[in-house]
Amino acid sequence: MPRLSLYKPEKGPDFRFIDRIVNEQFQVGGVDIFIHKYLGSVAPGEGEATPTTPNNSMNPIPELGIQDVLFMENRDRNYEPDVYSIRGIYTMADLDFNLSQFGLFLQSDTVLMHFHLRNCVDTLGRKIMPGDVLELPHLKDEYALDNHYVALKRFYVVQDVSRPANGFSQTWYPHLVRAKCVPLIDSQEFSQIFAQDSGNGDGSTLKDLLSTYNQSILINDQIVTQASVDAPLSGYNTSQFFVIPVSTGTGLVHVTDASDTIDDTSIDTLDASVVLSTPNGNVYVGYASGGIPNNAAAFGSGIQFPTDPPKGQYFLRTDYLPNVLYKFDGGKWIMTEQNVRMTMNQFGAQDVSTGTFFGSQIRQTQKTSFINNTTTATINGRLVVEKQALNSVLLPKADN
Amino acid sequence: MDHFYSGQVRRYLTQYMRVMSNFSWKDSAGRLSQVPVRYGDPSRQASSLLNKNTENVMPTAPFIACYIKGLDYDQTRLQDPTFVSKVQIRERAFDDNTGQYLNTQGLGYTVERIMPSPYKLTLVADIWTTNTDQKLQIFEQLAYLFNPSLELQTTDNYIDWTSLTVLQLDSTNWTSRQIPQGVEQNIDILTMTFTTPIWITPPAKVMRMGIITKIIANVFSNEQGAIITEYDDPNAVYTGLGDPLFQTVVTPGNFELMVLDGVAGLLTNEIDTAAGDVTMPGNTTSWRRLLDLYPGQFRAGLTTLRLIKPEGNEIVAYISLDPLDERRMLLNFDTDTIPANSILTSSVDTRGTVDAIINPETFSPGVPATGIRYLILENINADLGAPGYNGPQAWKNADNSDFQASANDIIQWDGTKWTIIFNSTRVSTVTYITNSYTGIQYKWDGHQWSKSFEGIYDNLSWRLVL
Repeated sequence: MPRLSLYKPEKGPDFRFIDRIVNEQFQVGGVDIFIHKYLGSVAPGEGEATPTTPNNSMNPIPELGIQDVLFMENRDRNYEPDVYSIRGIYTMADLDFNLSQFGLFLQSDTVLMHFHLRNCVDTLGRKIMPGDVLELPHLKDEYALDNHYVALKRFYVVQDVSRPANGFSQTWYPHLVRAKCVPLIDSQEFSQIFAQDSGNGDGSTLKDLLSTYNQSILINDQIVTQASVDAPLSGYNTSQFFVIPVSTGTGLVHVTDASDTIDDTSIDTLDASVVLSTPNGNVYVGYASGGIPNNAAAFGSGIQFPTDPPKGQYFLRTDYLPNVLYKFDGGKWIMTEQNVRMTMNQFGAQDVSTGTFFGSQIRQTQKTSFINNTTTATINGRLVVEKQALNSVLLPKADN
Repeated sequence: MDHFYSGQVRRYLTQYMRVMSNFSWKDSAGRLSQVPVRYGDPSRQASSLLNKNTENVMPTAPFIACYIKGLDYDQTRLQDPTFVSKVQIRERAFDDNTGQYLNTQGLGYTVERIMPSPYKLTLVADIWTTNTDQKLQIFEQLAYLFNPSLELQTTDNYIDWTSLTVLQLDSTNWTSRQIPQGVEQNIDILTMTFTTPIWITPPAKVMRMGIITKIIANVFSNEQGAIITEYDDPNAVYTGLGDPLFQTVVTPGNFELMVLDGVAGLLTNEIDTAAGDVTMPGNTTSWRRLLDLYPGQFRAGLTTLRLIKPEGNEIVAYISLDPLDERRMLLNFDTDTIPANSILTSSVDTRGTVDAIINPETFSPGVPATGIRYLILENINADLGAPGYNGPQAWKNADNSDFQASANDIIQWDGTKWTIIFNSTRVSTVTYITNSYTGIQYKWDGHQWSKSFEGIYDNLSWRLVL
């Protein structure tokens, strides 16, 4: 008579019997869990692979590929567009919100989700793994404070997977797999999931409905707008102030005849009317001038001085950076001030190409002109992009 | 203490968050995403609203949270707390109807600013990222800017001397996590701590522009003495100084003023006004060269010109520029400030006026009305009493007798004869009368008649009140 033993070297009928019973327990008492299956990291573009960011697309098991072997992380992840449904069991718990500097988080909302191991493998083709995203349909919230037609889903991401101690039967073989899950965050790693249609019928994505991103950007824009209202440009706005044009020597107001008519002394009436001259300089001097004449004096602008200008004429040369304001003194053009007032918004081309700040000024200070630089140079017929990473400037080209 | 709040720290924080805004990260597909920036100490209620009142809405990452870590008095920047800075500001005129500034001078202000209190504001930026590459992208963009600091400006108001400061990166805490992470996978926070020297200022005083437009410097001489014996007398130094030996008056342009026929003109101080022709354009100048130098805004019909008489009283005239000739300022005198006429009493009436000023050698009164008064410019019957003298028929009394009066006398017809009611040879006190015919007032100074306030005023004796 063979020795009595529930343990067998191989998974025999006892195991299969218990396993079916366990699976039945999950089907009867468990809850549907939708699985967004992780398919591995996104392959780098053509010619963009590096030794530390290899192309893993040829890996027979794509999930095993690591996008960045230096930092050991998978930032851009592929997910199966089809959603798998399996039953899971976990313990419900009351949750509190934790208010951090980044917003409200669910305090200790770590879910230990149990799945039937074989059912999981049969469904997914593999065991559930870290990076898989769980969608819990029974936690949909139909009563969120919004005007969407769809209920808001609850997502978790699997952090760790192990075989729970209580999932081992008398056969000493495991029947369960336990996934330690934490609430999902709208981040780069899950951008494929959030890019899916929300089902609201308006073209919106899950990100639009479930993430605070759009609202946070809106709030950010409002803060930047307020900052722009408080201080639109660097330097000081003195355009509302009046500058007295003063004659050198006398200290009196400098005036100019209103007309060029030469009066005849035989005529009784004499045109003695005068107009104020344009001031020589700004007395309200700040640390950054604006290139605008005082007292709202008229000025022209262009890349070439006008011919035969009247004395006191202002002209802004726009071919100089920063633009330079000149004044004609009757014989030559005198530089008055430079237009160095600049937006203090940290705007680059991508910030002003669309959205709230469409068409706004791009920041072009000495420092930022090295960053906000979209200029190209043509050198001997070759187009050269000016903005280049310093470590890759003028590297030798392959000449083989 | 009256309430005052102008949101100064709030503005610093707003500008700080602006500095941290509009940075981005890029994924492997080249898609750019802006990193949102928000205040790091929100209220629970506002945060719940952001979450749409559901636990299913999730926070976004990466994210930058900005908040104030500390605000301390900065003793090292202490300056004279009682120092008051004054700035004179002239605005351009503003047209309320069109809502636009004009290119003429508007109101003038003197703004007083007291020394603000120095503080050191410590600000923190917590940068939450979900992977290292993302973190490095954001750090690389931010870190370059602070070399060593970045300008921070809370307003572009020229008068606000607290508006400009710098934001200095003090320290960086690379990660909030332990390395390696252990059992829990907490969010990774890169903390950048900044300090900025700021000022907390009380309100300014905005007042009517008060700038000096006339300087009078007197030079006196006094006998040598011992003031120490009279130190209880605060005026000991000034006692017995008498008239100044020398006086220097400085005004804008040092112009003298010609007041004539209700018109005031500026006389350039280069000309000898006694001999120069003040009607020549070269000897006068446009009022436009002067008006803008005075505090305030010239308003035709409201701005006043003040003529200071030797006896100390001022004659006030409301002024407006002659639109045809800006060298002429038209005067509209405040009659209440013109000296009162001296009352001349006669047997017929009592008044301070004459009916006309005449030259008795060329003017005949005809049949004079009873009570009529004339100020005469020449003698009448100066030779009366000479043998055989018979005076002119025009100036005979009703009984055909001759009447004698001197130039500058005021005479009156009482119905039967002429009488002298103002004897210029005997009156030495200042007397004012008005010619009813022209409305011009004249002044007798003991020697001659002259227009009472018309004439030339030196730069000490007139002023403009805009």
